[in-house]
Amino acid sequence: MAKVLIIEDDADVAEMSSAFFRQKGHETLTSDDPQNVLDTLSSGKMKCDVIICDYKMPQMTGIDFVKRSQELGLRHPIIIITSNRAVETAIEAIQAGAYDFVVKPLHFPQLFISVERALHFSNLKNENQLLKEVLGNQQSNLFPNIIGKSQSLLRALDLVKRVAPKTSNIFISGESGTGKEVIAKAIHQMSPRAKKPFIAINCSAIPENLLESELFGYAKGAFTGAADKKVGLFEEAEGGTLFLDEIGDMSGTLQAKLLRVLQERKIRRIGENQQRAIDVRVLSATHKNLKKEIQLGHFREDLFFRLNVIPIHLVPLRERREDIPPLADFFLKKFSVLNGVRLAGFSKEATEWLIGRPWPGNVRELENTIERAVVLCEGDRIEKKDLYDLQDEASSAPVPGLEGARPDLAADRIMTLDEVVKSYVKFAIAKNKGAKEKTAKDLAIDRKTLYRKLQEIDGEQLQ
Amino acid sequence: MMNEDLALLPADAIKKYLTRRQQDLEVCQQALASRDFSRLEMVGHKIKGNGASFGYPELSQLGEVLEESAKCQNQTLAEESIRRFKDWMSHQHEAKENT
Repeated sequence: MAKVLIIEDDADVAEMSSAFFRQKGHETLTSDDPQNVLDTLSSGKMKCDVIICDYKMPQMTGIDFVKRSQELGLRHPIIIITSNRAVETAIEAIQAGAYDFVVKPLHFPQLFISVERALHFSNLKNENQLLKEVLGNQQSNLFPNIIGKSQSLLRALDLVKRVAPKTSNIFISGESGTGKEVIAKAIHQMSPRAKKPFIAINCSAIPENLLESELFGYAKGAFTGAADKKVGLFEEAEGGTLFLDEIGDMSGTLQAKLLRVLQERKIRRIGENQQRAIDVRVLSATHKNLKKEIQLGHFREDLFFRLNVIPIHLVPLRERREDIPPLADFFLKKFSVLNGVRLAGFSKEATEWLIGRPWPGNVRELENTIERAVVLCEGDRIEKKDLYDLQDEASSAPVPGLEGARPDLAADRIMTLDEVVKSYVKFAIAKNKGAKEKTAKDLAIDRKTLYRKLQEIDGEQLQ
Repeated sequence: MMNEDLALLPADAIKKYLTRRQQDLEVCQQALASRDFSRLEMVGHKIKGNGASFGYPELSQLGEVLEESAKCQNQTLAEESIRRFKDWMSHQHEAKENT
């Protein structure tokens, strides 16, 4: 349903037009005073989607109305109604900015088609405007897709700007969802390699043996099933950038092979003796604390030094809360366009709620929350309840620092019941930040039992 | 306007339109008696403009003649126009009663 505004000094035509469009399911407003319409529309006291305006009115002509409407920055499509003796004048109205003109005597079905087309046109125009705003925000920025004004983010972006044109390997650290891949892409885009490929691979998502063939490729017949040769990602990224995400999850064997490649700048496909020179810039990232992984013997120190020539750390969203409102606005515009809705923004309470949340899943979680709110919102702006309803789901996101503490029941290996219990107790105590009384209550056990479990699981540091 | 298009118009609005034309007829008769040609011109211009839009092209033609006769202050032609306007209204009333 749209709101049709009819400006007509002939009460009969105004009433008939109004009755006709109401019959068609639209809401209508009528006025015989074009100046008053301009005043109320420009002050925001009245809203409409399309205007039907008579050409000949005592106060001003339809052309004057269109011109003044344009001067005031009003974007409503205007359809001028004119007598058939003044077609030239109607053409002048179109040139002045009117959307269409309809000649008297009125043919209401024709007027209806014109109104429907004007509404469609108006929707497209609004959508286009929104898209331009979203794109404008991106293009006016040296860093497309990176929104924020916090000092920590600006420092990271300044570093990106300075290191992007160089050839050094860059290591990006930060919690899950802080935008490590976005930063990696920005580095690639700002580097002289921008026109060459940017290849990203998540090392934790691919089994070890497959990861090796993905990275280095293989020769025909290298193993059973290798019916043809395969070019690896290092070769695919030739001249460009290879982004190794979640490198902290890479196996020791593969770490050794990667180290050799980085030292020699050469790769060898599986099943081949021949080495191939490569020109690839390697960017890597992980949410893990690699120094700790090195101490635990899970990650090679020499590889870490090779990768960590220039470290960039992305701080979690909860430590740069001033970035939340601009990010939320950006995602609101993005998903409004994608879902074809027009929302006025966030209520004060909704904004406060967004700023106050811990966002354990960081920007990714914020983005998902806004997307769901845009889809589910029933009003003309996002209220706290639109976000709050999703809180239960949102709170199930991983808690920073606890990744891996929760028992991984989806792992290939079946854990013993004892392992599951210990792992879960560790998870619960860490989630409650060491508060034993609350943990015991959450686990529905008494404190003595909890202490015994903690002793059993060798939890000196937890205690 | 085609007859089938007329059927798309709200019946209440057409009824109201005809009631207003009955009032216009009375205004015209008073204006003629007092030789108020500017008033006759105004009414003529109005029905010339909207008659056809409501499915009554003959009323628009009638309005045009009335407007022109008032502009020229042609009493005879104005009387003839108002007589035809009255006949047209009677015809509408009869048509309404028959339906």
